[in-house]
Amino acid sequence: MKQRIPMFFIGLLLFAPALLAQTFSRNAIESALEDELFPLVEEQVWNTLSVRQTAEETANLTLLLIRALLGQERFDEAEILADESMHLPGQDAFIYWKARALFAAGKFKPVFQTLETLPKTSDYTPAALRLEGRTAIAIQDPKRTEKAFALFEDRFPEHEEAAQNLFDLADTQLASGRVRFAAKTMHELLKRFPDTVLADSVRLLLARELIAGNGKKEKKEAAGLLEQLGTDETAHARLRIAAWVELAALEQRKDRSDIAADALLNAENLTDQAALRARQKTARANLLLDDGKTKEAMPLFDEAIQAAPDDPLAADILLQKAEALLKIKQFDAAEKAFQSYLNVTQNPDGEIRALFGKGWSLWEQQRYEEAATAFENSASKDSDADRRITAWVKAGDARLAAKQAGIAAENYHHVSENNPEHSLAARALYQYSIALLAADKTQEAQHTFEKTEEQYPASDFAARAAIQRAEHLKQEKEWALALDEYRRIANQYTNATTQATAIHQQGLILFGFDRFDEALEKFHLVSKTYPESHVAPQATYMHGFCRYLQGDIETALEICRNFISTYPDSLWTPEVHFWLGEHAYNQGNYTQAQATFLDILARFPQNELADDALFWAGHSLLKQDSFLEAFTLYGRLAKEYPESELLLNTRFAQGEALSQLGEFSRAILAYEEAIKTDSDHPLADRARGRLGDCLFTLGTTETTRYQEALEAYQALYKRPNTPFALKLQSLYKIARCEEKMELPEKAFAHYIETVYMATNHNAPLSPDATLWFTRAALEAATQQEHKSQWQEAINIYQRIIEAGVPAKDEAAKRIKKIKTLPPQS
Amino acid sequence: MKQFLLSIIPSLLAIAIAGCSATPPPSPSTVAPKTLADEFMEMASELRNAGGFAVVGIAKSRSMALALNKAKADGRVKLADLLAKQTSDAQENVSNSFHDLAPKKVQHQTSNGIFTVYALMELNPANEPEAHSTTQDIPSL
Repeated sequence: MKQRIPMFFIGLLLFAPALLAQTFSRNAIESALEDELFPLVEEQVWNTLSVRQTAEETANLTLLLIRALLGQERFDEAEILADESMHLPGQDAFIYWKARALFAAGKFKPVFQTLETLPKTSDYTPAALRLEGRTAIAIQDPKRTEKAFALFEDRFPEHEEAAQNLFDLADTQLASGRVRFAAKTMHELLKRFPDTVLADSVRLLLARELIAGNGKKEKKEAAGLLEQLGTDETAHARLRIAAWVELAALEQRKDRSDIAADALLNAENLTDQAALRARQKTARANLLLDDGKTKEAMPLFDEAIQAAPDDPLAADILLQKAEALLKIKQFDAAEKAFQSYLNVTQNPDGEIRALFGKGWSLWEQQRYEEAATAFENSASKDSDADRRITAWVKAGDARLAAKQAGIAAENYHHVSENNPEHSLAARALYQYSIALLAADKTQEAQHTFEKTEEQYPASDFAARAAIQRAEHLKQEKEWALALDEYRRIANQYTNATTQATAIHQQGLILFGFDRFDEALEKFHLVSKTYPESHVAPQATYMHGFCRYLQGDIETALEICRNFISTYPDSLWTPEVHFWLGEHAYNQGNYTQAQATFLDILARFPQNELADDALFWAGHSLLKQDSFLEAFTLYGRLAKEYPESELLLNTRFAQGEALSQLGEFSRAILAYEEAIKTDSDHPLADRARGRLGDCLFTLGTTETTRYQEALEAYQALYKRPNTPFALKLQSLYKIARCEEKMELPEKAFAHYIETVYMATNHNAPLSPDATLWFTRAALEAATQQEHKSQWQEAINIYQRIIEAGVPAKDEAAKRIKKIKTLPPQS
Repeated sequence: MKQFLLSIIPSLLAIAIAGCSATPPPSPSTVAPKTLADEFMEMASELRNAGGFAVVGIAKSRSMALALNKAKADGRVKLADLLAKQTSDAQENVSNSFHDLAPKKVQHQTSNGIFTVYALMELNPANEPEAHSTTQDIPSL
């Protein structure tokens, strides 16, 4: 035993270096805690607690230990330690830290229970209120949260966490939708703690709320806050960047794209990250585009693409550039940019966006088939319902425009069948019907129009479908049914366009039934009630036309003149002008007619009535004996409207004008042109006759022309379809030529043939035929008188009398005269 | 040093004697089951009788880890008290010398969710290098 004791102490001394460790001062442990060296803190506390400590010191050390355990996420141990340390001095500290441990462990309800045991006057009350607020946030109890933070604000306005508490209070109020209160709280924070980091955050937050409030005054304040934050060099760059970006958005909404772009430039200058800078540059480019500064915007896109730190971002900016080009209607460039993106992208969503944009670019370039393919590709891959449905509808539109009605129908059917509740479904079903109609599936189309009306009665397309069905009845000449249908539509649909169309169509059908009074009423109703509708011009015009047909010419003309001043550029305006010109012409007011027709030509040179107007202006001049001017206008018509249906008439009229000018050789050429234009047309026969007349006239100076005239008349006479009166005329003129060629017997024979042909005609003679019959008969009789063949002459005159033609009195007079002659005469 | 040794020898003897007298052999007719506390006290007593310094650190907690750490701390404090009493040195000075001291043996019992840990702490030069091997009874946490 004596040996052992000294040995122990020797041993104790030997092992001392290994065992030696110091207890640690609380300051040292707290420093380690601040540095978050939690395992070290734990070890140091236990070591220190291995030395007898005062109760106060044990309490302090235990609190440090609790915090070290929390730092290591050993929440249960921390909570137990706090709970089991309540006997130590400073019990309120353990209550608080127990609550903290429970909070950290996600045991929120026990937090409240624990905090309730905290003495009211505890130093931990502020921290406890903050913890209560945070716990209430965790269990999503905004009332309790706000209550806790508000109480904190009320009791501890000078506390070091007062600013943070105000911030959290505002945040809670915002989350509860109590925006006005939140704004008040944020203003309070800015007033009391203007130079804190939190104030910077609040400036951004408050500005966003003010902007969302949408008031003018609020937006102005928001702009001020954002500018203050953006220009505050002490504020965090992240906040400053956000402020400039918000300000840019605010200015953009005010259509001040230039100021917005400047704000974005400020954001860009503060941004270190290449990717973010590239995005800001892209946004700035979009703003400049909005401001119409295309030239400045496009290089920015290119800069952003070059500055992008990776290919996916560069591709994304390329896509934005393509979309920007589409927006500014540079469709060709947009399509190329979309295609470039499609060539490089691996991003499925981007690919869909690009296909969709490419579809629009092609659509706008009227490259319908390619557009349809792009839309179909986009639609078949898209998971975004709205865009997919739009793509299917546009694919349908493009196919329809490309005259591929069958595929168009399938595309529309995709939407109407699979997405009947979508906002585009009514349109899709209606368009489906239109496509079926275009594909000659008339019955199916009518069925789907009916379905459109039944399925989507509140949609605009219901009325349009109903009108289509009524239109179909009209085309089928089911006039009464169509009229009833239009009446139903007018009663059922209150939409102005539909009402106007349905009433107008009733007017047109009634007009077709010659029920002018009723038609007039409908047209008048449309023109008065729906003057802005697309059918109002025609209704007004038809109103005037009805008046005209009722014989109320003055009112009709008044309506037409009003029409022209009200609708100077309407589709019907040239027609109304033309009608006024025609009316003037028919009234013999050729100057007015000519001016009106020429006015149509000047104002609507591409209108389908332009050649008509020119033609009738020429005729008006002819009527004023302005033959040269008339000829000039006809020449213009032949040159400017070579496909005009009036070409034959024009050539003929040219011949007439030249004949009047004594330019017979040129007239012959004009008539030949007329004959060539349409040799079987009745007017061509008249041209043949007029050609013969010109040759005959030229015969006065060049007798060989009589033979040519004769041949021309013979050719006309022999034509199987030459009208009867013209045949008579030809025969008469053949005789005239023979007379000039000093072939009197032949001439007489043809005069008399003319007479017999007329008298043997089964039908009453037309005025023309009467003329040539009379002339031929008088010529033949005169020749007989010259030969003193009195009885033969009387016989011929007698034919005239029997024919009952106007010259019968003259014939009777001549017979009387012959009978009074002495027998030797 | 000589004075120091002379001063602690009587104390050690007194402890040894007291230890011997504190554990009379139980009478067969009144044998009660030994508690874990009794067992640890006996072990400490035996160690002390054998000339060592031994105490039992005891702690209770709903956390096994806390109970263990507390028991060890308690043991160290008691050991320091004992040694200080023997050496008349300040408790803190003594304790600083072996606060890393590991228990010779540790066991626990559980009742109503409360862990009671007994840590046998011995200061014996012959045993020192093996001190850490005594924790094998503690279940893994």
